[in-house]
Parts: sequence; C-alpha cells; structure tokens
Amino acid sequence: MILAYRALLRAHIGMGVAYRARLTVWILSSLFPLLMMAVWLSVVDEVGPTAGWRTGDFVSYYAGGALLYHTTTSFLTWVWDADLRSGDMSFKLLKPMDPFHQYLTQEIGLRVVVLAFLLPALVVLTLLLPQLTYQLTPLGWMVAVGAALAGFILNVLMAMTFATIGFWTTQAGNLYSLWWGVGAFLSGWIAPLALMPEVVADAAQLLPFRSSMGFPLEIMLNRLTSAQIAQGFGVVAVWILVFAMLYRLGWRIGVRRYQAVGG
Amino acid sequence: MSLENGDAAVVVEDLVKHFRVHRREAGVAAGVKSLFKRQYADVRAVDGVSFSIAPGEMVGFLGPNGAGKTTTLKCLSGLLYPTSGRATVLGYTPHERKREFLRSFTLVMGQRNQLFWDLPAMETFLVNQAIYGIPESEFASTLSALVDLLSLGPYLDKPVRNLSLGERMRAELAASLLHRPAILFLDEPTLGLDVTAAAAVRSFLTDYNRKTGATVLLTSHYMIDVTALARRVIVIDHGRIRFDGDLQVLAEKTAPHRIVKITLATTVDLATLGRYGEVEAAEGLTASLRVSRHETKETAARLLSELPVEDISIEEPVIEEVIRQVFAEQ
Repeated sequence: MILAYRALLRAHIGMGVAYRARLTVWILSSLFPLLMMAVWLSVVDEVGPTAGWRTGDFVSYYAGGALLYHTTTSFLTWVWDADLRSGDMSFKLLKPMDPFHQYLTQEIGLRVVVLAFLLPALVVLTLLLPQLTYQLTPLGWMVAVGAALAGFILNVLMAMTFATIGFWTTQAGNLYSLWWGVGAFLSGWIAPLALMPEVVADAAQLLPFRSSMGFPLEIMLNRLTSAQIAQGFGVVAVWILVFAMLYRLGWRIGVRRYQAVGG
Repeated sequence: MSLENGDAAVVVEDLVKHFRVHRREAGVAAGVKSLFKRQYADVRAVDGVSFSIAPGEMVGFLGPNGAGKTTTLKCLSGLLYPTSGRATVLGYTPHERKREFLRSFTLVMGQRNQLFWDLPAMETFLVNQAIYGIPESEFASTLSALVDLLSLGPYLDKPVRNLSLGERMRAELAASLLHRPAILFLDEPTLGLDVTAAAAVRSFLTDYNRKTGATVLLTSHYMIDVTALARRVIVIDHGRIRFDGDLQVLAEKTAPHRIVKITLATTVDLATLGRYGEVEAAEGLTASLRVSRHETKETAARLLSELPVEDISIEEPVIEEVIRQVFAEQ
C-alpha cells in the first residue's frame, strides 16, 4: 500500500505540474480569502477594531486562510461526478486498490504541488509584513498542522460521501455545492466565527465545517485555550467517524448501481 | 482461489442485467416536460446468457451494437452487479471484487484507456507495478518483453496525449498486461487502429496466449480480428446467445453455400453460367458462383467438363457476410 501511495502521489504531482497556466490559476485562486480580508480591513479603517479584531488579526487570519483554502478544500465530488458520467471510474474499480485511496492520492498530490508554492510565499510575507504575526510555539504549530490535516481528512470524507449519491442521481456536484455554500458561511471562510452572531458561532463549534478553516486558523492566531483545542479535535474526530461510516455505507450500496457507461 | 483440473476459467449461468434508462424526445419542450414527468424504460442488456470458457481458450464474442457484449464483459469484470444469474471467473464471483480476483484478469476497452493523459506511459506502468505489487525483476522482464512485442520503445517518454491512437492502444495493452493476467477481456481492442497497428495487436495477442496460456474473450466488429484469434465464437443479440461454437460450423449453418470462382479460356454468357449456380459476379473471363454446399463437388466437376475452365477454386463465404446473415435472420 505504501508503494502504491508513493507511485500514485508521484504521478499526481506530475499531473499537477503538467500545465504551467493551470498551476498559476490554482495558486491565484488562493487569493479568494484575501478579497474578504480587503472588506474587513476597510471596515476596521472606518469604524476601528471590530469585536476586538484589529488590522493585524484580519491580515493574519486571511493570509492563513489563503493557505488553508488549498489545504483543506476537497473537489473530489466533482471529479467523481465526471468519472461516473464518463465511465472513467471503471479503471479505478478494475484495480486491486480501493478507489478511495486512488482518489485520496489525487487530492494529496495536487495539494503538495500548490502548497510547495504557497507555503514559502506565506513565510516570505510573514517576514515582510509586520502586521502578519503568528505567535506560536513549535508545539502550537504542530497542533495547527494537525488541525489542518484533520480538516483535510474530514473534507475529503464529506466530499466522497456526497459523491456516492451520484450512484443514484448520476450527478452529486450541485448538492455538494449547496453543502459547501452553507459550509463557507459556518466554517469561518466568509468571516471569522468570532464576529458571527453568538448563536451561529456556537452552532459552528459543533458542525463539521469549522474544521476546514476557522479551527486551524484560530489555533494559528493563538486564540484558543487548551480545552477549546481539545474540544475542537473531539468534534472533528466525531465527524470523521460519522462521514467515514456514511461513506462506507454509500459506497457498499451505491457501487452495485454503477452503470459503467461510456464503453 | 485456484481452478481444479477440468474446471472452466469462466462460467456464466443465466446471467441477466437490466438497466432502467431515462427516455425523452429531442427538443426544448420535451426537456422541460421531462423535468416534471420522467419516463423510464427497462433495457434488457443481457437477458439470460449462459456459456463457459476453458482455461487457455480464445473466444470471439460477436454481436451488433447494443447486443449485450460489453455489458457481459463488464459483469465478468465485476464492474456491473448482475440483476440475476451467476458468473464466476477463475472461481471468483466478479462483483465481490476480491483483490486476488482483480489481480488475475484485465479488461481492455478499445475506446478508452487508463493511461495518465499528461504523463508519459511509463508513469502509468510504474503506478500499475506498485498497485499490483509486481516485484522489480518480474516488472523489468515483463515490461521489456511488452515493449519489444508492441514496439513501444520510442513512445515511452512521450506524454500520452501526444501519442497516436495506435500508439496509445499499444501502451494501453502493455499497461493492462504488466501483471500477467490469466484472463483477458478485450472489448474492441483494435477499434480505430490502422491496418498495421491492428495486425500488430492481433499478432501480440496470439503470442501472449501461446506463451502464457491466458484465456481470452474478445469482442470486435472487425471479422479479421475474430478469424485470426478465435476458433470458437459466441454470437449474442438482444441480450441472448444465438450461437456458441466453432466459427466454421457457424459459417456452414448460416450460409449453406460455397463460392466457386472460375477463370475461363473464352467468354461464356450469363445464362449459361446461371445453370451452375447463382452468379455473384462476372467480369471478362472470371466469374463467381454461389453454389449449394452439398452440390459443390458435383457442380465443380460439371464446370470442368462442360465449360472451357482454366482455373477453379472453392471458397467459404466471407465471414462478414455470414455474420450479417445471422443478425438479419434474428
């Protein structure tokens, strides 16, 4: 399995760097969170700190968000959708390796390519911009990386669970878009959860979306106590378990309905 | 799981696969109507198919478009879950998709390929080596043999997207055979290839079967593929088996005539030729006559004694014609 992962990762990294223009567009898409940052900076400019958040907080939050956007977001539902409709999933099913792992390596490979450019950029920006400050200990960084990884795993499982709906509907991408839209609001992607109405912020603590953005970012900004971090990891772990089970169930029942079209 | 002596490599018993398909007429109005009222039809792609294939046998699977050939192959590959019936391949139930089963066969689809589009084919080979757990020495020797047999050398480092259809098909065959499968399901493996490339693929498949004893089930619309590779054919139409047996027997059963070709010393009029059989073609001093199978010998003797025949040959009808006739009769 390790050898298969290594070979697939190498191939998907190769695919990721095959086209320079596509890679450039991917990296530029990281700037979406920075658009939200521009909005909040103008608010701070006009009315002063918002709920205790100053310019540096927003800059640090959204710069980290630009990195996390590519670390934790999963596009597998759309990839799977296309494979179902073209019949390309057949090739994954024919191999003696669960298609889950084949899709996962595809997702990791692309992350590696984009992060290879984004991580150094963030480090350089941190050195250049005095507002950009992450006051974390090495242990704090490890916890933040762990939270981002957990968010990535949960997002992949969510995307693939939704993708299995495609076995019934042929197309699950739009449904996942709706889910992703709700998630964008409750994850801290649109605005930090601390600035949301209390009832929304409280609900977000227990929902799966915060793990992909708000939770790792709040750790990076050193805004959480140890107890809150433990609770955050607990929530992510529960959702990972829930979606892992839902995925297995969806896969087992759904794969019997696969129509292997296009050949 | 391994086969006992005498066990068939592939056993299919009363296999059924039905699909529920959304139907709608063309046009915007029909599209809007279908948003509110869906119409479905049950398609009986495979409708009670039974056959078995012995280890090492090469079998041609024939049928018109939509006959159920590919659906049967997909059921045998574990891609499709059968509606009812039973199939076993090397003792495995395909739709259970056990890892050992997936290692033991390959499905080649002529119109699609598994190769990483933007990378050289070698990258796919290395991925397959890792996924199938092929030891380095075995991989090196198999790859070397495949590269030689399929003349792949010059294409290994070119991105797949830059390969011609024929080059891609040969690379696809190599990727599909690296793990030395005991069973090959080939769905139109020469589709779209030029004459030379198709011949290379046929020659390779014959060689692979001879060297490895692999079982082959092949579908093709090109009769030359079938006649070159398989003695036995299974004819399927509307999801049902119409014939299963020797290709020659099919020809005899379906076309109860032979073609007698003659070259004459002087011209003979059509009416005279017509007394010996149905004139298929006549041009100058040559003519082709369609003669009843059991009268061939007697007719040939009459032609030689009664007409100024310089040369005579007796041929079987072209297999394309036989198959066309089989389907026309359904």
